[in-house]
Parts: sequence; C-alpha cells; structure tokens
Amino acid sequence: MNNSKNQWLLEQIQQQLHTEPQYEKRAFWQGLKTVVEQQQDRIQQLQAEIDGHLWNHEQW
Amino acid sequence: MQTLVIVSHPDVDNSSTQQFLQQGAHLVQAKWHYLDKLETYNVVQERQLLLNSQRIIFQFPLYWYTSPASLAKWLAQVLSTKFLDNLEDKELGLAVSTGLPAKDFQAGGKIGYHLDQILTPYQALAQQAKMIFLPIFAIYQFSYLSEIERLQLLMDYQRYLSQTKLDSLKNRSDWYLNYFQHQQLTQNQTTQLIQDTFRQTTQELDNLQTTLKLIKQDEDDTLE
Repeated sequence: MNNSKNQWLLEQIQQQLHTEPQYEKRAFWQGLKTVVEQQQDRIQQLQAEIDGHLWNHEQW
Repeated sequence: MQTLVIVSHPDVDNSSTQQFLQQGAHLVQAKWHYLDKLETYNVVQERQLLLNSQRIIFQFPLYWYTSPASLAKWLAQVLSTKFLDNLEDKELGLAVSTGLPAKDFQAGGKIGYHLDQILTPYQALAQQAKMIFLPIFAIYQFSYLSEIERLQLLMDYQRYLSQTKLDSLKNRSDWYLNYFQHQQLTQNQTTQLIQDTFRQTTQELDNLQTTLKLIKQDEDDTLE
C-alpha cells in the first residue's frame, strides 16, 4: 500500500475521532487508529523482509 | 459467543473503574453479574449462568493480593469438584484493577511479584476444570489514565470479552472489521470509504504474510 493512502486513512480516522460526539464511538476510532498504525509498521517490516530474501545473493 | 462477567466489588456504584467497564460489557452484549448485591447465592441459578456462557471473566479490584470476599464466598458455594467437569473447554479470564502502577508488579518492584504469580490460584482452578485460561486483563491506576488511554482501554476491554481468537494483529484487525458491521456507527460516504480502505490494508497484510511464508518455504525446499 502506498504512503499517501496510509496517510489518508489515518487522517480520516483522526477526523472522525475529533468530530464524533458519542464517547463509545470515539473509543472505536481511537482503537482503529492504533490498529492501523500497527498494520502500517508490520507492512513495512514484511516488505523489508521480503526484499531481504529476494536480494539474497546466495539464492541467485 | 456468550460472555459472563462476574463482578466482585464492595461498592460498584461508586467505582469509576467498574462503571466504565460496565459500558464496555454492555456494548458487546456480555452478561454483567454483580455478586455483592446478592445476600445469598442460588447455586442452581449461578451454575446455570456458568453453563450458558463460553467465556467467564472474574472481575475485581486487587485486595490484599486476591479478590474481595464476595468472589471467594461465591466460589466456595457454587463450585464443586463434580460440577467442574461441566466447565471443560470454556474460557476463564481475569479483569483485575490495581491502585499501583504496572512497574510495581515485577521482581525488584514495590510488590515484587507479577499479577500472573499473585493470581496463580485462578490458573489452578482453570487447569483443574480443563478450562482455557486467558491472559490476565490488568488495569493499573485507572484514575491516572489519560483520555486517549481510557478510549483505548474501552476497546481493549471489549475485545477481551468478545474476540474469539487469540490476540494477534490479524485477529485484532478482523475484530475491528466485524465491529464496523455490527455496531451502530454513523454510516456515510466517508466512514464507508474508511471501512473499505481498512479492509484493503488488512488484506494486504495477509497477502504479504502469505508471500513471505511461501518464500521461506521455497528456501527450505532449496536447502533439502
């Protein structure tokens, strides 16, 4: 997933978090924000690990 | 999945922690069963509550390294060695609040023992009943939590009560996708787009994990 899409998703969730009047729904947006941030970290790690395997010269 | 929350607290109406958690239990339709308002326990009814539930949570503030008296009294009256056979394969969790910070509950800390050690008797109970013991859900110093930490706690608690699979990023993501569909969130074009994009990122994560697994599998085959 590209970075601008990631950024868009987090910005939209942040917007919901700030404008939602109901407490339990704000909690949902906060929880979702945390999961999305964790997903983005994991996606970057996985992509780096895959690159590492694909560029392993011992496998060429 | 039916979850039963058995609450032991001498004054639940004046406990901000318990009032807060009750909101979370309500949101995921868990059954809230408050022990201290009962003068005596109807053993048949109490056992039926357990039989009707797949996940059973004992919830209490830590009092002198154990639960308040009502839970000990309830356990003594309701359980029997023979009845434990009926609890096999059900899940047992503990939601425990403390007045001290997490750092105190470790070797070398003020208390010196982790909650896993202090609450060992409940793990023994689960083992004897052949129940699945869930990782303890600890709430340290609720009154000192920031607004954002409280919002996060409300969601983590709901997941503790209702997420069917073990905790992992994939299972957390699936739980949130499910929540989108089943809770009454405001539905408009933006929230729909957020939901769709989140589903895509969850799928992308899944695809990358599968790809990496295949690459590793391929490397293992090459080595053979």
